[in-house]
This record gives sequence, C-alpha cells and structure tokens, in this order.
Amino acid sequence: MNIVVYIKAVVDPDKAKNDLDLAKGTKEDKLALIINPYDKQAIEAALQLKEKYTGKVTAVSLGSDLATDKILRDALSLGVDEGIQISNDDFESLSSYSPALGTVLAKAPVDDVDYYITGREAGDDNQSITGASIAAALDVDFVDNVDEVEYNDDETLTLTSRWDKSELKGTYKQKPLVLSIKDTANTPRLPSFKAKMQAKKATLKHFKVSDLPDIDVARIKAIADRATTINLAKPEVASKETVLFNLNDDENAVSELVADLKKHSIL
Amino acid sequence: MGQDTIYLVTTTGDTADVEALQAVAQANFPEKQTRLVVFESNADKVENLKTKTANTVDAIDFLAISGLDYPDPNVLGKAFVAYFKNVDTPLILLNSSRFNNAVAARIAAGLTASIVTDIEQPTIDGTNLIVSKKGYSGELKRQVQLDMNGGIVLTVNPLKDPVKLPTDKDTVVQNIASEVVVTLPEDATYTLTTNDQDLNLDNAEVVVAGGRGLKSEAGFKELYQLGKIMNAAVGASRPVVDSGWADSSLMIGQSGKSISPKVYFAFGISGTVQHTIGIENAKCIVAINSDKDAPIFKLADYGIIGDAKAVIQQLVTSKVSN
Repeated sequence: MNIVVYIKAVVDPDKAKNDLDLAKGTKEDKLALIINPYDKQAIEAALQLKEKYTGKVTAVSLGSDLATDKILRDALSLGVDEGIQISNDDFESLSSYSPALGTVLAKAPVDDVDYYITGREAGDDNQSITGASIAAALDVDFVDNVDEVEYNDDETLTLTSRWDKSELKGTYKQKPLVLSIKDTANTPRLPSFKAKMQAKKATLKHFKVSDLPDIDVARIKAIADRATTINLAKPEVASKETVLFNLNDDENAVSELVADLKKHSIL
Repeated sequence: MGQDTIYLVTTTGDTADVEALQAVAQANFPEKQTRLVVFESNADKVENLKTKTANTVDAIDFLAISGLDYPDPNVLGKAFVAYFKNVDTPLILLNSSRFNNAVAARIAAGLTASIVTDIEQPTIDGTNLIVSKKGYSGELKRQVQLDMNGGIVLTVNPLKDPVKLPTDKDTVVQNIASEVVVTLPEDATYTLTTNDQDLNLDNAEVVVAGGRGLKSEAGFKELYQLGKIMNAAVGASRPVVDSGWADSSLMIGQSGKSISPKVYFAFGISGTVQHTIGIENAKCIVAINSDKDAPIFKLADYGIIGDAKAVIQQLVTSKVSN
C-alpha cells in the first residue's frame, strides 16, 4: 500500500505572535519552524495504515528548503519511509488561498498511491482546504474531518467523519482516496533518539515546482497571483471592563456575583 | 466580470442559516443580485424556506441530487462544481463551518477560484475584494486581497448585528436536477449528533465549562450537577478532553465547537486563544480562576479570583437558578 502524507512547516504560533517578520515569512528561523500541529495526526494515521497493511509512507512538503528539510526529517524520525521536498523557487509564494495549491501538491511524483492524507487544517492560515483541493485536482473522492478509522481485513477503511452537528460513517472501497484527519482522531507517537539521529542522515528527494510532471508553471503563477496577503497584524483587542470578585478575601464573592448577574438580567 | 450576482450556497435549508448568509450579502454587497443555491433533501424544509425567503432574494435554485438523502461534503462539492461550471468568474458565499469549508474548497478547486475560509468584512476595492481572516488560530489577523477578475469562494462568519433584508424582490424559483454521480459507501450512515429538542451546546442560553483547574475527572463531573440546577449545557476545554475527563463532543474552541450562549461560565479555564476563539460570540463571559493573571480575565465581563471547584460547590449549594 502506498500512502502519501502532506505536511506543512509552520512558524510556532507562540513565536509568530511575538515576531511578525517570522509570521510573514520575511525572516526565517529554523528553530521557530515546526510541523503543523494538525499534521501530526495525519502522519500517525499514515503510519498506522502502513503497520496494518504493510506498505510505504511518503511525506511531501512544499515550501522553502530550510523549512521542508527540517520537518521532513522530523517525519522520518517517526517512521515515515521517504521525504519529498517541493521547493517553490518558481514563485514568490504559493498560498493556500489559491486553488493552485492542490494542483501542485497532487503532482508529487509518487506512483500508485492508495491514500493521500492531510491534517485537518494548518495552524498558520487555518484555511482547512488542502484535502479537498488535492481531491479536486486528482478528481477522486475525499473524506473530510476523519475522527475514527477502522481497518478492515479487505484493506477497505471504515471512516467516521465528525462535524459540529453531525457525523458520517461508511466503508470506503474506492482508491485512491483523499482523507483529512481530525486532530482528535489519534495520539501521535514520539520519535526515539536513535530514529532522530538516523533521520538526520537520511537523503530527501527534491523537486522544484517546475520539475513536476505536466505542470504549467505560468498558469499556476497567474492563478496564485490572484490572491495575496496584504496585511498581517495583531488583532485589536477591545479592552473590557471586568467586574471582579475575589474569593480569597471576600467569602461572599459567589453570592455577590450571582446577585450582580441577576440584577443585569444575565441570569 | 460576471459578478453583478452573488451566489449564496447553502448545504441545509435551515432558515436561520440561510438568513445569516443573506444578512452578510445584504450588509456587504447591497448592490448585487442575490441567488440562493440550496441543497436540502427534506421537502418540508424546502417549502418552509420558499415561504420564508419569498421576495428577499432574486432567485433560488434548489439542487436535487438523485440518490443523496443527506449532505455529504464530497458529493455536494462535486455537484456544486457542476452547477457553477458555466458561470463566468462567480462570487460565491457559504456560511463558515467545518462542514462547509470542505465543500467550499472543492468548489474553488473545481472552478479554479480563489478561496478564503472563515472571513469577515469583505470590501470591494476597485477590481479587488479584500477580506479579513484570523491567522495562527486567532493570534494574528490577516487581510487577503482577491482579484475579482477570477472566481472567488468565501466562507463567511455571521454578522454581530442584525441587518434588514429587502422584501420587494421578485423571487424566481427553479428546481435543478444535478447529474453528479453519487459515490457514497453502501453502508453509509449520517447522524445528527445534536438534537434540537435536548439542551446542548448549540442551543443552551447558559453554558458551564470546565478546564484543567478542576483538577480531576470527579472535579469536572460536578459541573453536570450545576448544569442541571442552572438549566445549562456543559462544555470543556481541550486539556479536559485530552485527559479523558469529558467526551470530545463537549470541546469548545479551535478544535471543537464555536458557541454563542447568552452567558458562558469558564471554571478553571486559563483562556488560550485556541479556546477563546470558540466563545467569541458569547454575550457575557464569567471567568472563575485561581490565577488572577489568567488570560481569560481579559475577555471576561465578570470574574471571580478563587478556586473553581469551591465556586462550583457554592453555586450548587445555593441552588442558583436561571
């Protein structure tokens, strides 16, 4: 079974909020880059598939060489078999606001893929569109927000998708299939020290976007240029007046709160 | 540009959902013609929606998909792509939700349209549309500029203030049979996990939620008793769910639900953005935390500095009612 898992390098949110240059990408710091937290469950799902049915997991990451090198090695240390870097030298940026993203990712050169797996969303742009975009580019089916995976003996999967108000469960026989995995679907494993050391020495495959098969770089660039981030800033926080009681020095704090809430018809 | 019409796509016929979407269109694009594109398999809901939206939109297209009795985002995405195939550079809005984002992404990819999910404040600037969107799970705010010479798909957050909808339109209603091939598993089951009749996080006016500050599963379970007394639904922060004290369906925030109760009680919840993004639309926030510097107090209208478990106990004992 061939499994492709798409992973994205994001700036650690705690670092991004304190250094907007990191968030905007005008400055790059290897130490601030992490695997998109939502992709960890995608990697885990891919590894569980491989362990259940035997096969090969290829991690694919699009972005700067520095960023993809770091996170692909992290993925290898968890048990992923191969890493493919796709560098976007041909573009200033290829954002997730553009349908070109799925077009490019779908062209990653891996043969006979059974499952394409993504995390539910990326922690930096919170778009939650990559899985659907890849499925559309490949013209295959897509199962979104997968929260539970049952592995059947005939290599089909029974998947439960969960949304805010509903769930959908079914046994999917068609392949290839694109899955996006919810961050509550599983508990990602941790790497061993030895595996980390081995991953450092591993060789990654590297492609530029223009190296990918059947790709029209000029067209993709034109599509990508239609959507651009023009500003990224800390949101203005409306300062609120908080009516505060302190239970440590006022034993009636709770009843005073309740009285106040009732007075204002909140309770 | 084929954008004198704005397309409002809905995957349910629920009138509240449709009205929320109409309100966004009316507030931000009052000049444009509005065309509702609806998938709703329930005939009663279709009739109800026709009555409710009469004269408030220019056109409604009801999309029928033979063999599909419930909304599956995969099939719906493909059906909407087919619907829009012959529309030149459409501007398409959906209400933002996890479910709709997947549908929207498929529509955008199928039509080579730009897409931004969970946006606010769309404004037209010449031939561009500028939208605001949260980044880094709410830590930062981003403005994205979209060229209107291409198609655009947006999922939009609801407006905070109500908008008056027009009532003088001649609504043209059409039924359209989609020819999309339904590729559902034979054994597929679709379940609504919230029942509108029961008190739940979506419909409760009062929500009592607990976090790590409740110290244990037993501490968290006290909330159920309080919920009963206050006629409140119980919610949880992510650490509580990760510790196994509560089911993930109770989770509020980036990875869970976004809720809009009249009053939200946060017991022992520190208030990371990943959590507070889910309670932005609560009318009143009451925070109870032993740490006076907990970020939740910055958002709270009322607060008690003190042990959350002790406060729950006192509220239960005093039988505070709603």
